[in-house]
Amino acid sequence: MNGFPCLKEPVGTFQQLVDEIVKTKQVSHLRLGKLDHLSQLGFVMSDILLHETKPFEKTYCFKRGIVFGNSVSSLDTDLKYWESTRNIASPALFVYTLPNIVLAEISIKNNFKGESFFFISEKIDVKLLFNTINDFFSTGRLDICLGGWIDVLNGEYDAFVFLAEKEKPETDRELTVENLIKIYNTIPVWSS
Amino acid sequence: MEQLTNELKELIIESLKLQGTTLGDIDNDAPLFGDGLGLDSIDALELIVLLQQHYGIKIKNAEEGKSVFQSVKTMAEFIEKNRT
Repeated sequence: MNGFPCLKEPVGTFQQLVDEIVKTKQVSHLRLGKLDHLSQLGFVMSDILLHETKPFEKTYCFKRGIVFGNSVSSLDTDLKYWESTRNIASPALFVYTLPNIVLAEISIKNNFKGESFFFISEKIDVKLLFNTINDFFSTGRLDICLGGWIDVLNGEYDAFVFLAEKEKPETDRELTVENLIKIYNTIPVWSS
Repeated sequence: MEQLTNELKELIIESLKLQGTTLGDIDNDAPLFGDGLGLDSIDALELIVLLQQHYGIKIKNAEEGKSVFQSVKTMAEFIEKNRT
Protein backbone atom coordinates (compact mmCIF):
# COMPACT_ATOMS: atom_id res chain seq x y z
CA MET A 1 0.00 0.00 0.00
CA ASN A 2 1.71 3.17 -1.21
CA GLY A 3 4.98 1.25 -1.45
CA PHE A 4 4.73 -0.30 2.01
CA PRO A 5 3.94 -4.03 2.37
CA CYS A 6 0.55 -4.92 3.83
CA LEU A 7 1.79 -8.36 4.77
CA LYS A 8 5.27 -9.39 5.86
CA GLU A 9 5.58 -12.14 3.28
CA PRO A 10 3.51 -14.23 0.84
CA VAL A 11 1.02 -16.56 2.52
CA GLY A 12 0.28 -20.05 1.17
CA THR A 13 -2.52 -20.43 -1.39
CA PHE A 14 -4.57 -17.65 -2.93
CA GLN A 15 -7.42 -18.27 -0.49
CA GLN A 16 -5.04 -18.28 2.46
CA LEU A 17 -3.63 -14.97 1.24
CA VAL A 18 -7.09 -13.39 1.05
CA ASP A 19 -8.06 -14.79 4.46
CA GLU A 20 -4.85 -13.43 5.99
CA ILE A 21 -5.38 -9.97 4.48
CA VAL A 22 -9.00 -9.93 5.69
CA LYS A 23 -7.87 -10.83 9.21
CA THR A 24 -4.86 -8.48 9.30
CA LYS A 25 -6.52 -5.46 7.75
CA GLN A 26 -10.00 -6.15 9.21
CA VAL A 27 -11.77 -6.08 5.87
CA SER A 28 -15.50 -6.42 6.39
CA HIS A 29 -17.91 -8.20 4.09
CA LEU A 30 -20.89 -10.27 5.23
CA ARG A 31 -20.22 -13.13 2.83
CA LEU A 32 -16.74 -12.70 1.34
CA GLY A 33 -16.41 -16.47 0.83
CA LYS A 34 -19.36 -16.35 -1.53
CA LEU A 35 -17.51 -14.08 -3.97
CA ASP A 36 -15.35 -15.60 -6.68
CA HIS A 37 -11.57 -15.12 -6.53
CA LEU A 38 -11.55 -12.12 -8.87
CA SER A 39 -14.18 -10.33 -6.80
CA GLN A 40 -12.53 -11.29 -3.51
CA LEU A 41 -9.18 -9.88 -4.58
CA GLY A 42 -10.62 -6.69 -6.08
CA PHE A 43 -12.91 -6.15 -3.11
CA VAL A 44 -10.22 -6.74 -0.49
CA MET A 45 -7.66 -4.47 -2.18
CA SER A 46 -10.19 -1.69 -2.71
CA ASP A 47 -11.42 -1.98 0.85
CA ILE A 48 -7.93 -1.58 2.28
CA LEU A 49 -7.19 1.37 -0.02
CA LEU A 50 -10.43 3.18 0.76
CA HIS A 51 -10.09 2.47 4.47
CA GLU A 52 -6.53 3.84 4.57
CA THR A 53 -7.15 6.92 2.40
CA LYS A 54 -10.67 7.81 3.62
CA PRO A 55 -11.55 9.81 0.52
CA PHE A 56 -15.24 10.15 1.34
CA GLU A 57 -14.55 12.46 4.21
CA LYS A 58 -14.18 15.13 1.55
CA THR A 59 -17.65 16.47 0.83
CA TYR A 60 -17.28 16.75 -2.93
CA CYS A 61 -16.70 13.06 -3.63
CA PHE A 62 -20.23 12.30 -4.80
CA LYS A 63 -19.46 10.92 -8.21
CA ARG A 64 -17.53 7.73 -7.56
CA GLY A 65 -16.45 5.29 -10.22
CA ILE A 66 -14.21 2.35 -11.03
CA VAL A 67 -12.01 1.51 -14.01
CA PHE A 68 -10.45 -1.95 -13.84
CA GLY A 69 -8.94 -4.31 -16.36
CA ASN A 70 -7.38 -7.72 -16.68
CA SER A 71 -6.16 -10.22 -19.25
CA VAL A 72 -8.22 -13.31 -18.37
CA SER A 73 -11.69 -11.84 -17.83
CA SER A 74 -13.64 -14.16 -15.50
CA LEU A 75 -11.93 -17.30 -16.83
CA ASP A 76 -11.00 -18.51 -13.33
CA THR A 77 -14.71 -18.70 -12.43
CA ASP A 78 -15.80 -19.73 -15.92
CA LEU A 79 -13.69 -22.89 -15.60
CA LYS A 80 -15.11 -23.70 -12.16
CA TYR A 81 -18.63 -23.12 -13.45
CA TRP A 82 -17.95 -25.34 -16.46
CA GLU A 83 -16.70 -28.05 -14.09
CA SER A 84 -19.91 -27.75 -12.05
CA THR A 85 -22.02 -28.41 -15.16
CA ARG A 86 -20.77 -32.01 -15.17
CA ASN A 87 -23.23 -32.56 -12.36
CA ILE A 88 -25.64 -29.67 -11.73
CA ALA A 89 -24.57 -26.16 -12.80
CA SER A 90 -23.95 -23.93 -9.80
CA PRO A 91 -26.00 -20.69 -9.75
CA ALA A 92 -23.59 -19.19 -7.20
CA LEU A 93 -20.71 -19.65 -9.67
CA PHE A 94 -22.75 -18.59 -12.68
CA VAL A 95 -23.40 -15.10 -11.31
CA TYR A 96 -19.64 -14.46 -11.26
CA THR A 97 -19.01 -15.49 -14.89
CA LEU A 98 -18.61 -11.85 -15.88
CA PRO A 99 -15.49 -9.90 -14.84
CA ASN A 100 -17.35 -6.67 -14.10
CA ILE A 101 -19.19 -8.25 -11.16
CA VAL A 102 -16.18 -7.26 -9.04
CA LEU A 103 -17.11 -3.63 -9.80
CA ALA A 104 -20.62 -4.29 -8.47
CA GLU A 105 -19.32 -5.83 -5.25
CA ILE A 106 -17.12 -2.80 -4.58
CA SER A 107 -19.86 -0.36 -5.61
CA ILE A 108 -22.49 -1.87 -3.31
CA LYS A 109 -20.21 -1.72 -0.26
CA ASN A 110 -18.98 1.83 -0.92
CA ASN A 111 -22.03 3.47 -2.46
CA PHE A 112 -20.46 3.96 -5.89
CA LYS A 113 -23.11 5.06 -8.39
CA GLY A 114 -20.96 6.64 -11.09
CA GLU A 115 -19.28 5.31 -14.20
CA SER A 116 -17.71 1.87 -14.12
CA PHE A 117 -15.67 0.21 -16.80
CA PHE A 118 -13.88 -3.15 -17.09
CA PHE A 119 -11.56 -3.76 -20.01
CA ILE A 120 -9.76 -6.88 -21.17
CA SER A 121 -6.30 -6.64 -22.70
CA GLU A 122 -3.29 -8.88 -23.07
CA LYS A 123 -1.20 -6.80 -20.65
CA ILE A 124 -2.01 -3.92 -18.32
CA ASP A 125 -2.92 -0.95 -20.51
CA VAL A 126 -1.86 2.01 -18.43
CA LYS A 127 -2.68 4.52 -21.18
CA LEU A 128 -6.23 3.20 -21.41
CA LEU A 129 -6.60 3.39 -17.62
CA PHE A 130 -5.27 6.94 -17.59
CA ASN A 131 -7.27 8.16 -20.61
CA THR A 132 -10.55 6.67 -19.37
CA ILE A 133 -10.24 8.09 -15.86
CA ASN A 134 -9.00 11.44 -17.16
CA ASP A 135 -11.95 11.61 -19.53
CA PHE A 136 -14.39 10.91 -16.68
CA PHE A 137 -12.77 13.70 -14.64
CA SER A 138 -12.57 16.27 -17.43
CA THR A 139 -16.21 15.73 -18.47
CA GLY A 140 -17.39 16.03 -14.87
CA ARG A 141 -18.73 12.50 -14.74
CA LEU A 142 -16.57 11.52 -11.78
CA ASP A 143 -14.94 13.19 -8.76
CA ILE A 144 -13.07 10.12 -7.62
CA CYS A 145 -12.11 6.87 -9.30
CA LEU A 146 -10.68 3.54 -8.29
CA GLY A 147 -8.39 2.22 -11.00
CA GLY A 148 -6.57 -1.04 -11.31
CA TRP A 149 -5.59 -4.32 -12.84
CA ILE A 150 -6.92 -7.52 -11.23
CA ASP A 151 -5.84 -10.77 -12.84
CA VAL A 152 -6.59 -14.11 -11.18
CA LEU A 153 -6.36 -17.58 -12.68
CA ASN A 154 -5.84 -20.94 -10.96
CA GLY A 155 -4.41 -19.37 -7.83
CA GLU A 156 -1.95 -17.12 -9.68
CA TYR A 157 -2.66 -13.40 -9.46
CA ASP A 158 -1.40 -10.00 -10.52
CA ALA A 159 -3.22 -7.13 -8.87
CA PHE A 160 -2.71 -3.40 -8.64
CA VAL A 161 -5.22 -0.84 -7.37
CA PHE A 162 -4.97 2.93 -7.06
CA LEU A 163 -7.24 5.82 -6.17
CA ALA A 164 -7.40 8.93 -8.34
CA GLU A 165 -9.13 12.18 -7.41
CA LYS A 166 -10.23 14.98 -9.71
CA GLU A 167 -9.07 17.53 -7.14
CA LYS A 168 -5.65 16.08 -6.39
CA PRO A 169 -4.55 16.53 -2.77
CA GLU A 170 -1.23 18.42 -2.63
CA THR A 171 0.63 15.59 -0.99
CA ASP A 172 -0.41 13.00 -3.57
CA ARG A 173 1.28 12.08 -6.83
CA GLU A 174 -0.22 13.42 -10.03
CA LEU A 175 -2.25 11.02 -12.16
CA THR A 176 -0.01 10.46 -15.18
CA VAL A 177 0.85 7.46 -17.32
CA GLU A 178 4.46 7.65 -16.10
CA ASN A 179 3.49 7.63 -12.43
CA LEU A 180 1.11 4.69 -12.91
CA ILE A 181 3.82 2.70 -14.70
CA LYS A 182 6.30 3.56 -11.95
CA ILE A 183 3.94 2.42 -9.18
CA TYR A 184 2.96 -0.78 -11.02
CA ASN A 185 6.59 -1.69 -11.63
CA THR A 186 7.52 -1.29 -7.96
CA ILE A 187 4.97 -3.86 -6.74
CA PRO A 188 6.81 -6.94 -5.37
CA VAL A 189 6.17 -10.16 -7.26
CA TRP A 190 4.76 -12.94 -5.13
CA SER A 191 3.65 -16.25 -6.53
CA SER A 192 1.50 -18.80 -4.71
CA MET B 1 -34.75 -36.22 12.28
CA GLU B 2 -31.93 -34.72 14.35
CA GLN B 3 -29.35 -36.52 12.25
CA LEU B 4 -30.98 -35.17 9.08
CA THR B 5 -31.16 -31.58 10.35
CA ASN B 6 -27.48 -31.70 11.35
CA GLU B 7 -26.54 -33.17 8.00
CA LEU B 8 -28.62 -30.50 6.27
CA LYS B 9 -26.96 -27.71 8.25
CA GLU B 10 -23.53 -29.01 7.27
CA LEU B 11 -24.54 -29.10 3.61
CA ILE B 12 -26.01 -25.59 3.82
CA ILE B 13 -22.85 -24.21 5.42
CA GLU B 14 -20.65 -25.91 2.82
CA SER B 15 -22.64 -25.17 -0.32
CA LEU B 16 -23.50 -21.57 0.60
CA LYS B 17 -19.95 -20.91 1.85
CA LEU B 18 -21.13 -19.59 5.23
CA GLN B 19 -17.63 -19.10 6.60
CA GLY B 20 -17.43 -18.99 10.36
CA THR B 21 -20.95 -20.45 10.81
CA THR B 22 -21.29 -23.59 12.95
CA LEU B 23 -24.14 -26.07 13.32
CA GLY B 24 -25.00 -24.47 16.65
CA ASP B 25 -25.42 -21.06 14.98
CA ILE B 26 -28.32 -22.29 12.85
CA ASP B 27 -31.62 -22.60 14.71
CA ASN B 28 -33.89 -25.29 13.23
CA ASP B 29 -36.89 -22.96 13.25
CA ALA B 30 -35.17 -19.69 12.30
CA PRO B 31 -36.12 -18.19 8.90
CA LEU B 32 -33.57 -18.97 6.21
CA PHE B 33 -34.35 -15.76 4.29
CA GLY B 34 -34.73 -12.19 5.52
CA ASP B 35 -33.99 -12.36 9.25
CA GLY B 36 -32.30 -15.45 10.64
CA LEU B 37 -29.63 -16.67 8.22
CA GLY B 38 -30.26 -13.77 5.82
CA LEU B 39 -29.90 -15.80 2.63
CA ASP B 40 -30.62 -14.29 -0.79
CA SER B 41 -32.09 -15.37 -4.12
CA ILE B 42 -28.87 -16.96 -5.37
CA ASP B 43 -28.72 -18.98 -2.15
CA ALA B 44 -32.28 -20.13 -2.85
CA LEU B 45 -31.16 -21.50 -6.22
CA GLU B 46 -28.21 -23.25 -4.56
CA LEU B 47 -30.61 -24.85 -2.05
CA ILE B 48 -32.68 -26.19 -4.94
CA VAL B 49 -29.49 -27.68 -6.38
CA LEU B 50 -28.63 -29.10 -2.94
CA LEU B 51 -31.99 -30.92 -2.67
CA GLN B 52 -31.60 -32.39 -6.12
CA GLN B 53 -27.97 -33.35 -5.80
CA HIS B 54 -28.02 -34.88 -2.32
CA TYR B 55 -31.59 -36.11 -1.91
CA GLY B 56 -32.85 -36.60 -5.46
CA ILE B 57 -35.75 -34.19 -4.92
CA LYS B 58 -36.92 -31.56 -7.41
CA ILE B 59 -38.92 -28.51 -6.37
CA LYS B 60 -42.06 -28.36 -8.54
CA ASN B 61 -42.72 -24.63 -8.49
CA ALA B 62 -42.05 -21.35 -6.69
CA GLU B 63 -44.96 -21.86 -4.28
CA GLU B 64 -43.61 -25.19 -3.17
CA GLY B 65 -40.12 -23.71 -2.82
CA LYS B 66 -41.45 -20.89 -0.64
CA SER B 67 -42.92 -23.32 1.90
CA VAL B 68 -40.02 -25.80 1.79
CA PHE B 69 -37.31 -23.21 2.34
CA GLN B 70 -38.84 -21.46 5.33
CA SER B 71 -36.42 -23.05 7.79
CA VAL B 72 -34.06 -26.00 8.26
CA LYS B 73 -36.96 -27.82 9.95
CA THR B 74 -39.33 -27.41 6.99
CA MET B 75 -36.55 -28.51 4.63
CA ALA B 76 -35.87 -31.62 6.72
CA GLU B 77 -39.58 -32.51 6.91
CA PHE B 78 -39.88 -32.14 3.14
CA ILE B 79 -36.83 -34.34 2.57
CA GLU B 80 -38.18 -37.03 4.93
CA LYS B 81 -41.44 -37.12 2.96
CA ASN B 82 -39.96 -37.04 -0.55
CA ARG B 83 -36.43 -38.39 -0.66
CA THR B 84 -35.62 -41.03 -3.28
